[in-house]
Amino acid sequence: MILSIRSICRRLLCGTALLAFCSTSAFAEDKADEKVTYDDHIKPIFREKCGSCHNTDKKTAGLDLMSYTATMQGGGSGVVIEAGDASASYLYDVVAHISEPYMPPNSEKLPNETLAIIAKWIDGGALENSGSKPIARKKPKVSLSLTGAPTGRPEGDPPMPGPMLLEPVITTTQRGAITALATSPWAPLAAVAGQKQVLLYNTNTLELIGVLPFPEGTPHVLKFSRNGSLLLVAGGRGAYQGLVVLFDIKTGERVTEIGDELDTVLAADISADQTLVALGGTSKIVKVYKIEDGQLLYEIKKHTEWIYAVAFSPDNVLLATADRNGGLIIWEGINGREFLVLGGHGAAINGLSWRIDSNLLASCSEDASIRLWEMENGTMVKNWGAHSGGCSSVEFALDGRIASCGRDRLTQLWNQDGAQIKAYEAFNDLALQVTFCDETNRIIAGDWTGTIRVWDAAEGTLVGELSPNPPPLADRITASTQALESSKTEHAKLVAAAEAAQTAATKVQTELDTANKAVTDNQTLLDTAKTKVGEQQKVVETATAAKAESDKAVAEGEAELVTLNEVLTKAKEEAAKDPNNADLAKAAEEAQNQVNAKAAAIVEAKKVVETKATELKAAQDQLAVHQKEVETYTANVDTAQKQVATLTESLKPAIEAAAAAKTAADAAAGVVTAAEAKLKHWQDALAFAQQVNQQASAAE
Amino acid sequence: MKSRQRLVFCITWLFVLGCFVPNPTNTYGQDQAPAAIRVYPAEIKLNTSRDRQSFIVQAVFADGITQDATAQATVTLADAALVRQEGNMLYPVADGATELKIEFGGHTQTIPITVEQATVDRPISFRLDVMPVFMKSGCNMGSCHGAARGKDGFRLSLFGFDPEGDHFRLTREQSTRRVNLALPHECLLVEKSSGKVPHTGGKRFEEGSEYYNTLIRWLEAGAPNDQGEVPKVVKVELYPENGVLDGEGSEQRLSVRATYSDGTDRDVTSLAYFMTNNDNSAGVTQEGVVTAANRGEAFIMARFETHTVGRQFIVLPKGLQFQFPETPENNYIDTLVNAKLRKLRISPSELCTDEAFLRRVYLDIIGVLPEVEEFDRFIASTDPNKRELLVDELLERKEFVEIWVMKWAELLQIREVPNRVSYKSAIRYYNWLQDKIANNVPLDKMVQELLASNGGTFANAATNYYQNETDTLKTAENVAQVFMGMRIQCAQCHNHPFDQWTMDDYYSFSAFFSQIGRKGGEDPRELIIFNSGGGEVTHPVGGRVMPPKFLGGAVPDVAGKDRREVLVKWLASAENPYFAKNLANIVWAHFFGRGIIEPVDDVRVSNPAVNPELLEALGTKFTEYNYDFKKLVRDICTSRTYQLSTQANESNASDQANFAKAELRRLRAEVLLDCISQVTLTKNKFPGLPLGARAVQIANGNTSTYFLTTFGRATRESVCSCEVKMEPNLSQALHLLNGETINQKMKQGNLIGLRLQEGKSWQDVMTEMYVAAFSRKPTEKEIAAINEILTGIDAAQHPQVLEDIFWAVLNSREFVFNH
Repeated sequence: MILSIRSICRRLLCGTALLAFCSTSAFAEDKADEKVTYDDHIKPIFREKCGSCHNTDKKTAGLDLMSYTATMQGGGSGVVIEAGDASASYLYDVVAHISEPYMPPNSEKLPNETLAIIAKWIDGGALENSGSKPIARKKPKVSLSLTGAPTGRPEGDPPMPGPMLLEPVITTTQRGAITALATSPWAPLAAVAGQKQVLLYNTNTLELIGVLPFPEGTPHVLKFSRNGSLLLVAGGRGAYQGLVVLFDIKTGERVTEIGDELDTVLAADISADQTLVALGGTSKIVKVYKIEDGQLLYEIKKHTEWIYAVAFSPDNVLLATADRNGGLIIWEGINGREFLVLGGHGAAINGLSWRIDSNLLASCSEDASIRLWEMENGTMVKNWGAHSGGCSSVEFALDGRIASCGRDRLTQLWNQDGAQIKAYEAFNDLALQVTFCDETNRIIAGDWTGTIRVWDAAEGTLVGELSPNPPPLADRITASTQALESSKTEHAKLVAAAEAAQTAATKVQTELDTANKAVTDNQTLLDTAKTKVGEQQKVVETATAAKAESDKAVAEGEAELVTLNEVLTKAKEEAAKDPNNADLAKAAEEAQNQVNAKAAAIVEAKKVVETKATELKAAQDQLAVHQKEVETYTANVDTAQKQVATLTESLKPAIEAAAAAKTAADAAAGVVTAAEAKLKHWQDALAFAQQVNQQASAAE
Repeated sequence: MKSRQRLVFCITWLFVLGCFVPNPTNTYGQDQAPAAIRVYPAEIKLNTSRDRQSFIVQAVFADGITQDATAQATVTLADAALVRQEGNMLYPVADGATELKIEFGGHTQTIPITVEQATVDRPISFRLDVMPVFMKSGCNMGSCHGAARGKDGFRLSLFGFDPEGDHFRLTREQSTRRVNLALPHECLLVEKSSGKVPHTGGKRFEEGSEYYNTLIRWLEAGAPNDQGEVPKVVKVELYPENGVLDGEGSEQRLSVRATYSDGTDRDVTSLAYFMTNNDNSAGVTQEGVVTAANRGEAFIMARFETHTVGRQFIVLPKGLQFQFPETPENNYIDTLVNAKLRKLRISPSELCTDEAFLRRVYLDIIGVLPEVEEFDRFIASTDPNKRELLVDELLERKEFVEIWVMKWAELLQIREVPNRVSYKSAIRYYNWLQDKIANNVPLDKMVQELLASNGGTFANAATNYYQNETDTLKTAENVAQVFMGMRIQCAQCHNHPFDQWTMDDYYSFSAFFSQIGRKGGEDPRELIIFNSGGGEVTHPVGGRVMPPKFLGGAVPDVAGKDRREVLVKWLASAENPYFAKNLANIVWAHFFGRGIIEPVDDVRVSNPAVNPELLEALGTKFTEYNYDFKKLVRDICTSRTYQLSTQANESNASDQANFAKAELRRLRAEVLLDCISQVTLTKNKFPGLPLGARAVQIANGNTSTYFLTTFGRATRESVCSCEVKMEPNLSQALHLLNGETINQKMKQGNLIGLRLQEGKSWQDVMTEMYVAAFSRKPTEKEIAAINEILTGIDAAQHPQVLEDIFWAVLNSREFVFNH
């Protein structure tokens, strides 16, 4: 009785509500023939509005709305959907606020449009999907499975990306924290988690070589498959969606999508034989799916907190799972049977990494420690405080070394015995993710501010940085064009400079030559002058001698004259005394004659002396002229030599400067070439992206 | 049939009233000019480009009614180039000083405005801008992320007591989950709070709202933490100062302004959390609009940061015409109570009858019913001062002492505790207390002696206070709760959400009890309490040593002194503003069933006194009486307010808080048992007490009976006033009806049999029964009804019928309640 009254009331109420809907929805949707189905219309609504409680894991009030079957099955209060009659459906009543409890709780009523869709769906017979056919698999089958679990280097060239999109999905003004990093075990290839995308970098050149779009949200996990041919990307949008996507490394194509979580996936891994994917997150449940058809294989519900890390062993046997409480459990990978429970960590476990031989598992935790566990008995074989404040990421290199980073902002490399090999320059904020590139022996780590640094692991030198937020291609092209222009300008400038330097050098050389010639010429003149001086000196000497001889002759004559005069005087005296003595007179006369003759001779001799003196004077004058010449030429030579010395000194730098300028100019030419190549690279990338886009839109 | 007709009539009458009442005789609008206008705030300072300030205009009419005239007032800016006005909000445009002129109803007021740094943008601050959003949006409430373990994995400090930790948890606890600086609009913090993704707590605010934009602005700035000293809130003002709302639906908008330690102020109306202590009378929206509902009084509060401020709002029926009746006032109590009632437009009830007064004053002062002779004497007396004389007489009875020893024993938790407080200790403690009360030792002296006590728990029983509670922090909490009426427990872990107390206050106060030494005495049951002279209390956040500081008072010099000695000299003195008022309130509550602050041990900003002036006066008087509470009791019991009838009148029917009429109060467990025993002429035997002792005299809190437990006797396990349970419940009723107490006692005492044997008529027996139980004689109607029954049957059956009547009397509400 009571029941029937209740149902009548409900019918009455709903009848009015339904009338209201009919009137609005009938006109609003002219394309009434479009079927409203669970898969296409209803599930997204349920996901968004009801999913936080009525999901497969929580099943609040026993009701799960995340699958058609479960929805139709109903909850603790019975069936909630009466196909064909929205007003009689409990679910509709509570969301339309016709009866209590109003759903969703603590929220406004759903918009009328949404309610109309739900009503239409139920009234239309609550179809699961278009065409009431049995559930068609949305996912095509994929087969990626390998025979066995390869741990060695794969044959042939290691997988590297081919031509790939380089246009980033999004470029943000600020960088976010680094959520995930990974390196290919066999190739110089790193994957970096960005916003709604994964970026592939060549770890040798640090060049961006690929962009993998992840429009579902933020990637939280990046893992290369053991042979390096697949990249697992897991993540999503917080409190909304989480999934795992497998990408083909060579082509960059999505191979498959796995999982359908209501919150972002925080941990995931792909098994070594590429048949299974494990994932976990805030639901505290680890789910293991078959890659082949995306079906759930098994669930692990033992963890009591959010799942923070999962890792398949390289030999494909074990699966390690860890949670925010410090819980660490090892399972048989193929069936989820418990194998070992590894107790010890006192706080959230942030990372797990297997050694390549699968005998040793490394775990790192907010309790600051890195611990190593052996798989025979589950003994903790090593435990050391690695990062005060908490260790956020850990990775085994192929050679057994261990890379880690943590809240102390440090990135470190360890031996397996916990001895530090190296610590790298600290970040400015929390270091969040680390990966070791075995191919290049480089260590890559990222921090809270979005900085990613690449170090040479052995030397500890910073090789460069990777960007989680690369600029758009258009910007790259603009930048490259600008770089090209400026390199060209620079080049031209340097060429001009080289030429100028060369000219300067040449000029110095010429001047030097001239100076050298001056030296030689003046030397010759000097030599000649010196010879002449020598000769003239002889002439002077001769003339001097001649003059002296003539002077002597005069002097002798004068001396004889004196004697003769004395004789004369005597003769005159005697003659005077004996004026008759003719003899005496004659003698006197003779004496007179002799004196006169002598006097005449002296006059003659004096004339000779005069001549000789003139000659000497002339010779001396000539000598002076020549001596003057010697002085002049000596000075000339000195000057010229000094000039030569100066010029010789400046010649070398000038030549060197010229050479350097030439080298610089040549180098600038190289830069120009490189810039041209770069520009072309980005232009090609843009062209490729446009081509892909055109193909994509053509395909649509 | 008759009552049914009456009901129909009443409903009809109500309907008629309902139709006619809205036709107002007195509309507050354009047709009546206000007596004055009030404009808030008194001055406006706008500093930096994002600043703003709302103003409020309130019209006050001659009869005290207020009206929100903000929207109707004419507002003129002297210099519109400096300030931009949108509604009642002012924004800075250019630096300078100007004035806002407000005109309404013929009144004009101007308020000065200064604008500084009008074009300078203030950088976003985590503490000043972001933290208030979490508070306002309820994110850090105890039921949400403010819980000790957070909610759904995310924790914020409760009401934001730890901004540093909150910044860490938001940005770096889980570095990649809650915030994303690259995509601020799409990070979990923003998407969850704006309802874009499922959130257990639902949508907290709209995308694009002020709160949303604040979060985005903070994220876009790089989610910075504050560097260096951040200004603290030193004052929060809530406007208007009060309101008297005219009829259901009347509204009054509020404005909240915070002043910071750097001298700046902000309009935080949008960030303050609004509460009302009585949404039946006045509700308040989170936008800060008070809406009147039913007649009554509400205290509207705004909380911002650690400050809570409240304003009184009175709601009156639309167009109420009211004349306060001429009533005599016996003393200051009546004056102050009536003053409040005038404000509320409530008339006090009439004076109660002598019979009602007699019963009430006996039960309240001495906890027993008047004997038949006492009844006769009082009723027969024609002395106009007979009520006062009776009060004086009762105050000298030893039962008065016993009642208060019991009440104090509850506050001091006198009881035996296995392995801690021996029976001997508890008894000595009780005897000490009884000695103090019986000798009328002033309460301040008693408290000083108690709290500063040293020595063995046997030798100096007062030291039992420190054996009862050995935890330093708990001791401090108990002292605050009992002697100051403050529950400071909250502040142990976070700043008190609804009061002024911070963690600093809590630990500084606790430091007074950090140097209590305890060592065993010769008797293993004895403990020796002494001043150890060493030991400190440290702050849990940061580990600072906290110097002893009076709660809400100064930091005294305690060097080389017994800290408790220092404390008691302040605590139990007039310097402590809470001590006298708190004890006066406890005494008051005993006589009215309700404190002026209720509950009496929950004094806080958000639980204001219904009549602060009255409480102040009682406190002052108590101090003047040198803490002799007997005099206070005399004031109370001789006041007309205490002697009012329980019969309500039209205006006070819905009021229970303002002492406009006497309230019905169930007798407390001990008194009820004693009264049943008294009326049935039986005796009780309690452990450690002689036969015939009264339940009020039980010393040990652990001693109880089924009856006492059922009726809510205090177990004395805590100092809470809620230990004594006064709420009626089903098991009480069933126990009285079918339980052993009443039936057995009636059989045991055999009152009816004895009296009939004595040869008394049934009328006499009935009269005695009525006088003993109800302190009144049976009415003629009652006698007639019983006569009808008795005359129809054989006399041998009379005792049986009379016993049934006696049973009915003891089960009646008239007996179980004090009225």
